[in-house]
Amino acid sequence: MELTLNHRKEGDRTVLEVGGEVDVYTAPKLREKLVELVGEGHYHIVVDMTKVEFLDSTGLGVLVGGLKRVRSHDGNLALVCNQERILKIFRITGLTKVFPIHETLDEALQDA
Amino acid sequence: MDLAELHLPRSVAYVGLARSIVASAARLAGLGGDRLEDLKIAVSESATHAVTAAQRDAEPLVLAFGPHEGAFEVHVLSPEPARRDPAVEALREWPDEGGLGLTLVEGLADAVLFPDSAHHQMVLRFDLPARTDVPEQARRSSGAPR
Repeated sequence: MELTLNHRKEGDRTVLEVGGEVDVYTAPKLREKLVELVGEGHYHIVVDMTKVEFLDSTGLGVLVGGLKRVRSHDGNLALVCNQERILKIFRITGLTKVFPIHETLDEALQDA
Repeated sequence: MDLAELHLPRSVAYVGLARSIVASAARLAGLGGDRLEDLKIAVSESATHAVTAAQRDAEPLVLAFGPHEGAFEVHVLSPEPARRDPAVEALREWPDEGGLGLTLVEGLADAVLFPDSAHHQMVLRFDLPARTDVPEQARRSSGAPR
């Protein structure tokens, strides 16, 4: 399963849709995309993970790196995730306390 | 112990194949649902560690796996110790961009064993559900209770 990445503007937020499998092989593409977006001045990012089929700690690390990057510009990075098997990974690693995680994109976009 | 052995090129490109093959074998052994997803992640983490810790690319990625004593076991050999020094771990900045793999493995598997003192081998154990779909004839021939 290939990794798919698509981004668009929604008001003052940038939505990055991630699909497919995020592991040690594909995570560098996600990292590059986040670095590119921050480099272009996108500091308020919502990563929509509803189409993610697989995620491991390499992917988590990339998201943590993205969060650090936007925070260094007083920005934020929120996640959209409604799959229990993915949420479980965030809970086990304690990252539910680090990322704002929303069930739907609308909810993430409405969150101030 | 009678486990299947998988040898793959030691490359990050093969981690996905490793988890797919091991997950297929685990499904055939009776693991299913969320537990199969947990196994995929744990295998991915341990294979990733083994691949990224390698100093010599020529050495293959080796996984041995199969049912053993009521669980599906996955053995992964790594050139570097899988378990970190707790003293070093305590100094680690949190949240870090790496180092979450072992936390995930220990949170997802029913047991994680390090048979050698140097922690170069990691054994993941996922308890198998009791089989109820064994054909009647197979049960009779194996002497299994009805």
